[in-house]
Parts: sequence; C-alpha cells; structure tokens
Amino acid sequence: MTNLKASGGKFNNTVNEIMQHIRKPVFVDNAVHHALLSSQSDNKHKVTIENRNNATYNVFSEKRYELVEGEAAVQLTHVSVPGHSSKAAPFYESSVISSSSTLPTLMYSGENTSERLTLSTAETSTEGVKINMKNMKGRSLKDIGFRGSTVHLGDPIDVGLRTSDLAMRLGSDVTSTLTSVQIGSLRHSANTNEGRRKHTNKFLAEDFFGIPLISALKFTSRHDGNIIYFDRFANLMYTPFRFSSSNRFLDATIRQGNEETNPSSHNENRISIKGVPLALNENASVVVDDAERQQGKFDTDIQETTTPIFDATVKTNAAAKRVARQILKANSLQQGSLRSSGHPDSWDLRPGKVVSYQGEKRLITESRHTLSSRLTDMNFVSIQKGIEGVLQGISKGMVSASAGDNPDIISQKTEKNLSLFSSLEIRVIPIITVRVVESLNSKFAIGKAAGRATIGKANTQKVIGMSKFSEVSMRGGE
Amino acid sequence: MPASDYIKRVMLDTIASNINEMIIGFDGTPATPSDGAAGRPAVTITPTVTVIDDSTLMVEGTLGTEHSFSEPLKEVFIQSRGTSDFVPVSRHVISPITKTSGNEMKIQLLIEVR
Repeated sequence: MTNLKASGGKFNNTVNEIMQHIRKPVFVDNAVHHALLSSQSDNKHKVTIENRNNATYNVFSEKRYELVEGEAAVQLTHVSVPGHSSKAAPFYESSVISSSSTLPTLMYSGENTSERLTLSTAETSTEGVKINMKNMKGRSLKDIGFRGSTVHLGDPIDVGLRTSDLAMRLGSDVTSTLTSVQIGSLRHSANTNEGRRKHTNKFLAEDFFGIPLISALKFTSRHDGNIIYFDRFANLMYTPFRFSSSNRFLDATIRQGNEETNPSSHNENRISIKGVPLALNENASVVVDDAERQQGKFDTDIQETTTPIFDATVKTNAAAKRVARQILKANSLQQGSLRSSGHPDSWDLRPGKVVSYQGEKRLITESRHTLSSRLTDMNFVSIQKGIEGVLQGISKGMVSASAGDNPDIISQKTEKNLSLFSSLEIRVIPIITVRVVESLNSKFAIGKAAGRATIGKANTQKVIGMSKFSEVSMRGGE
Repeated sequence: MPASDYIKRVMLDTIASNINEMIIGFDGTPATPSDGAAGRPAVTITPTVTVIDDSTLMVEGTLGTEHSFSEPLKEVFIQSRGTSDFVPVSRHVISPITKTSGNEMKIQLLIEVR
C-alpha cells in the first residue's frame, strides 16, 4: 500500500489511490456530495461535482487545540501531551494561523460541540496564536456558557433544499386551489427558451409545518431575493426580483380630471435584524443603514424601528446583513403615491398592472372605471424597478422580538454597516409608423375625358407627389 | 446614488453592438422579460442602429411594399445573431397591423439607459 504523506503541515493532498481489495459496501447516511454551483450568463446554473476545494471550504481534522482564556481573547496552542510539547500556532488552510491568514469560522468545545465561539482577528504571540473575539467586553468564557479547555476548529455547512425547489414543493399542496405554482412566467410560444425559469442558488433548511404558504414563501424570499407574483389568471409565481410584466404607456396629458401627489416616503432607512446566534459570543444582530436615504437633499432623517426584526434563520452577522439589505432595498424602491383621474379608454388597466406614466414606471393600486363616460380614475405607487416586490411587504411575516432582547449596539469593536443601492434602467419604446403608399382611386387623374392620364409610372406602387392618406404612428408598450 | 454617465454610455454601446436582427411576427401573446424569440416569425430584417445621444439609441427597420401577409403583424423582436448563438434583446407586442403591398411600415425602437 502506498504510504500517504503530507507535503506540508497538514494533510491536504488529493488522494487518487484505488482500493485493491473488495469489501462490503458501507451505507453512509449522513454524507453529502459537494458541488460547485456557479451562475452563468446563459441562464443555466453550472453544477460541478468536485472534491474538496481550498477556495470553498476546508475539511478539518479531529485534532483539538488548547485554549487559554485572556481578556476578550484566547491563546490557541497545540495540546501538550507526553511526547508532544510544541507550542506553535495551529495550521489552517496550509499555513500557520497568523494576523494575515484566513481564520476558520468557529471553535467548537472539545468536550461539548454545541458550545461554539466565533473568531474575530488573530495576533501573533510567543506561544501559539492569540485569537481576539467579539462581544466579550466584561465577560468571561464561563459567563457566556463556554466550558472546556480544548477546541476543534471548523466551518459550519448548511444542508438544505434549493429555495426555488422548496417553493415548488411548498406549492404542491395547494394546486387544486391555484391555477399553477411556477418559478417563471407562463410558457407561450415566444418564451420557450431556458431563461423563462430561473432557479436560485441559495439553499435553505427550514421546517414549514403549520405555516401558511404565502408566509413560507415570503420567508424563503428573504434569502434569495425572489418575489411572489400572483397574476390575473391565478398563477402563483415565485420569480426573481427583477421580474416584471410588460407595461403599458398611459399618456398623462390626455386626461379630464386632476392629479394629486401624496409624498409618503416614511420608510425605515435603518434596519436592525436579530437572529439565533450560531456561537455563544455572537449576537447575530446587525444594524444596516441606507446611507443614501439618510443624507440626501430632502432626506436627512434617520428612520428606524424601535424593536429589531427577528428572523430565526439568521445565524450569523453575515446572514443578518443580507436580510437587512433585502428590506432596505425594498424600502428604497417604495416612494410616494399619485392619484390621477379622468383617463379615457383605459378600461383594461387593473390594480397590479404597471404603467409608464410621466416617464416613470408606476404600479396601479386602485382603479375605478366609469363605463358611461369611458373615464378611469387611478391611484399609483411610484416605483423604479422590480416593483411587484414592494407590494409584498418584505418585512411582513417577521416576528418582532420583545424589547428585553434588543441587542446592545455598543461593543468593543463597532462595525458600521452601510448599504448603498445604484440602479440602471433600460427602457425600450417601440414606435410603429404605417403609411399607405397606394390604394385604389388614390391617384390623381389629369386631362380631359378622352386623354385622361394618371400621375405615376404604370405598374408601380410608389407614391409620386401627394397622397391623400396620412401616416399613422403608434406607440407600443415599454 | 444613480449609476455614472460613463457606465451608461458603455452599456448603451454594448446594447448597440448587440442588435443586428429585427424580426416581425404574428404572435400577440403578452411580452415578458423572459421572452427569447419571436412567437411566430413572419419576416426578418436588418435594422439600422443609431446612437442618438449618451443615453439613447434608435433601432430602425422598414417593411416596404414588397411584403404582404394574410395575417396581421403583432410583434417586434430584436436580437443579436452570431454565427452559433443569439442574444435576445427585447420583444414587443404591438397593435395588429395588416401589412399589404399597399402600405409601408416603419418600426422605430428607442432604447434609453437611465
């Protein structure tokens, strides 16, 4: 048998040895295939089954390291056992843990793996390495419930369903009530391409037993940015945030009624999210500011909720930031409302339809048609893009935590989270012009009865001189 | 904060270089952003693409008197066709137009990046 030897401090070689003897197959019920899922421009995600990859995650050894508690920090060294007295810093990712190296996410207690600590930064030390930890001001490891003197290093891996698959599974129970549950717009002859349906690349494991379908879908949507869209044919669609139906042009100048603007941009621009922490010294809470909306020409106020939004799936600060960004993004899209009345021939416009009004995309929230006068009064919500997501109230379905659980935003190392949004919009406006160039009796006849002639060459349909028809121009929907 | 004018111009040029085919068709099903082709193609023309200013682009195509169809035209689709692949740009459903040998049809698409 080949002797397998590590080339560096830890064994990270890819082994391609083939087992020479035959043994009974062993069923492994808790194994997962590791695959790399990358988003591609041709709308299909590329899945590559691969072996361990240093760039994605690490496989850790069962080795324990000794922990010596300090002031908001721990000293990490090799465990001193008979015959092994090295006090060097542990290895991680093919190099010694140092101030410039990447750190593992978690330290698990050697005695009880449910007790976990997160690492913040590393400092060089004469013995081992000094690991600084967050949220330890005035608290010892015992205070936060960490017992034990040895730790394993590790990265947590979540195993769950792809959120778009999860959405379809959730919708399968109500298929008799809805026309369909889909993850893309309905199939018709123009969109039979692969881009019609777009699977997400976020994975989520959550028990939705006893939770209404819409609440469950809103819950998953906070992780992948998808929206729930309910079309007028009773199809429930779980689609990306950028999804929108084609909109219709509504001329603001042709109306018989008045127009009123109701500016109401009192949406939160500072969001606090609190989750269930993964580690004992983590509070899984984050405060994210939409800095742009706090420092504008007209918006200088910081508007925040008094209690943080609680989300049970948020386990780390990174996840809390992601959820907070989603809510801020939805808030930044929502603006004032507008009421306009007396639009002729707009009988086809119903609530939920997007129209292009005064050069801006607006969503109709209310419409009243008067059939006798063929006039329509409408209420709009102004939106810049992706608008349907605004309606679903992305912060709905969350539970507000009680005031006693509010996180302390003052810690030793204050992290300021800012979120900025930039938008690019592409509008395509079709203008079709139709001109009649020839028709029966459209020519001019010149001359007296016997020698009358028509202007224009014989057997041609090109117009010469005047045509008694005028051009017709039509503006299509954007 | 709005995106910078420079990136808008770059984007506009990218879009301009990605349009070389205009397809007029008969299919009137509502246009969606996921549309990848014309529903029922009738005729394919090569449009003229003109950058009007830093944020506007015009795609223009003409159907002359040599084209006549028994069904009304209901859709306009533009795309970039390469040797082995194509990139859909946009699909529009228009009011039905009966195209005979006695009329001309001019299709103008204004594309704004803002």
